[in-house]
Amino acid sequence: MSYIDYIVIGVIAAVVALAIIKLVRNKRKGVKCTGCIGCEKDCNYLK
Amino acid sequence: MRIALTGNPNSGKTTLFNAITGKIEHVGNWPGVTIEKKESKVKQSLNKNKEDLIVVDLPGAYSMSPYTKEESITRDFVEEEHPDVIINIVDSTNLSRSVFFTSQLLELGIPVVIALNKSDLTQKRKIKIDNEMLGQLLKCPVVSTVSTAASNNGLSDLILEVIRVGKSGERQGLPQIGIGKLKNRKADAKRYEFVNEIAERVEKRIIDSAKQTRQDKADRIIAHKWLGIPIFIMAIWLVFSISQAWLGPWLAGIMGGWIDAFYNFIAGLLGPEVHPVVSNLLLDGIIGGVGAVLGFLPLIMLLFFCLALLEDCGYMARVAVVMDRYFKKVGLSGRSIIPMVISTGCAIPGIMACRTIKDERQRRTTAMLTPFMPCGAKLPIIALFAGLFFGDNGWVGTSMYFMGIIVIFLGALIIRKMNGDKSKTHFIMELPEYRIPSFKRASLSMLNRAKSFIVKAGTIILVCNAIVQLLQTFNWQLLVVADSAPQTSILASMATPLAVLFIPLGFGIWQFSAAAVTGFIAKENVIGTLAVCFAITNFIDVEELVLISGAAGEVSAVFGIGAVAALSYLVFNLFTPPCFAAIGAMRSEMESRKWFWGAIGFQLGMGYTLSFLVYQIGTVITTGALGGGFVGGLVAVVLMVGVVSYLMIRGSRKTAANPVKQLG
Repeated sequence: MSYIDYIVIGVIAAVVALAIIKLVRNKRKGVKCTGCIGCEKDCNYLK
Repeated sequence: MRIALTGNPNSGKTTLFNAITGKIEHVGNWPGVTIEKKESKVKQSLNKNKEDLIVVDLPGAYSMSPYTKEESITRDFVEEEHPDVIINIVDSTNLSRSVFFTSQLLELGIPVVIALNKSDLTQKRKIKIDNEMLGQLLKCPVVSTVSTAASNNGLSDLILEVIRVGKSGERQGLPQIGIGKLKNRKADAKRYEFVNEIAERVEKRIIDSAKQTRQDKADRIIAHKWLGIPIFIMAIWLVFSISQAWLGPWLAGIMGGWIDAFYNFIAGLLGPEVHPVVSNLLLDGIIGGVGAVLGFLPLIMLLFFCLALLEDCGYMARVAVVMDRYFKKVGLSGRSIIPMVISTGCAIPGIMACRTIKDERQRRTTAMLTPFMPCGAKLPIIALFAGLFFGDNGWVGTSMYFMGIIVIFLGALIIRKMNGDKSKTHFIMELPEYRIPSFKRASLSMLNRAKSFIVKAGTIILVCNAIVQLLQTFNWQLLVVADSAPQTSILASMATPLAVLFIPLGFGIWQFSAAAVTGFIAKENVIGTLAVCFAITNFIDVEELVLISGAAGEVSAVFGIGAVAALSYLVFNLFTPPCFAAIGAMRSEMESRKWFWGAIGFQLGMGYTLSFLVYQIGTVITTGALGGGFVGGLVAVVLMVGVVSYLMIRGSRKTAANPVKQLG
């Protein structure tokens, strides 16, 4: 594994972490779904 | 100051709420769109003195005696939370019906300001309302509004009046209804007398209401019991053709090109120095998986744009009327259609909309069957298989849409028999005006859905695809799997036992069973997982797939299944239980463990049986022989059908023994 590999792994980890943070934050807000596409702004997911 | 927006269903509350707050809450040209209260501040342009004005949009109600769950929300809020001012939105085209609720609100002792909404329509219909006299008779201010207009809409006057009334602290006088100590029906009869008297005194109709309008004439065709069905089929076919056959694939091709360019750009940046496991995780797992899902974004946006136009022009409300007569026969009603239409966007709000149904059995049955409508998340799966195996034919999407309706119809019949309920249902719905659909509203609806789709692709889909890629890359010893032996991966070893169950359905391949399972997390994952498993970034460009397969024109060579098995897989994904989030919504709306687990079992059985029938019958028709695993599949299907038949017979016996209406 070269240092470039570690940089790419870091980028991947950051992207996945951001996605997980967003999901966890939504769960904490009490959002029940994974972000559907029908509620529009009726859903707390986008608030 | 807290201001409650109340009024009858479809009086334009949410449109007015959006207009005075600057929000873009979902509005629909039919009753029952709002099922929960929403709050927001009044926008600055209408609140120049920067008062603390909070507006609460409440579900529509016809009276303070609630008939449905969402009407209770309105009553409870007004009675228990005591807003400072109530804006009562009165549909000026239907004054006599609206004022019944107004008269009840006035008795609460909370200051009321009447927004005489849709006043543009009263002018068109040559109805004259004497606002001053109405205000005098009801003893509250009346302001004419047109919430759909951008200017001269009366909203500034309305807010000024609300501030004046709220700050004055004066108690409004009560109108002279003369109910006294009368109760229930007698009180209602007296109230109706009062309302009719008001309507007679303040309203002048130049056009005879008994005369047929152009709308009535159009409804005689569009909402006709026989003609309504082919018109509905044609409308949906047109929507699917535009979005998935004509314009959609062209736009998706452009989008696919951008995703490919981004993929190649990142691949170029990484170069050959990066370890293949790492570069594959980023390129095939994350960019490829998410890109494959995002590739369908233009198709979905177009579809929702077209559906929003249909809804906005007032057509979908007619569909509820057309379908009512058929749904009545299976124990549902046109009211069940509304959640089903909403479900074409997402099953979750569709299931939540079931609370507008008062009858418990009907509500639970609708919540159970609503997810059978192809939701937005399932549309990429339809588009994928329609594009790859059926030449982008608009009939694939249309037939899946109507297959959903037929399955709902069949399911309702079975559940009614199981439940032993023979009660008759009634459905009354106020048909909204036909109007030229607003491109602005449809565009906003489309953009909101697109935004949510992108957010979903960037969160749950991205995480799932990264996990799938890792599970596919390593075996249980955490060694990298050789390209020649993908079946040794963790993912393959987990999915292979499950794939055995799918042999009778034609897709007993581990990649497909893995995709079906990840689909329960979010249905778009089916696309993402297939993209990761088959290392395909662009599902839109069929020519690219043909190049991958190396067999001219044979997309099936890539996936290892033919068109019949592809259709069977599509049916399986559409008619098995929805994603976990929708399952959660189903659980909370059903309020019964028995119904909930029954629903899950029913949906699994329905999906498996339909998929089995599609594959086996399709194989017999196309090859003249039965498909693989026929006997095993038949045994499973016969067992499921046997259990359902037994429950239906038991339900019928229960009814015969006790003819009183049974509720689960």
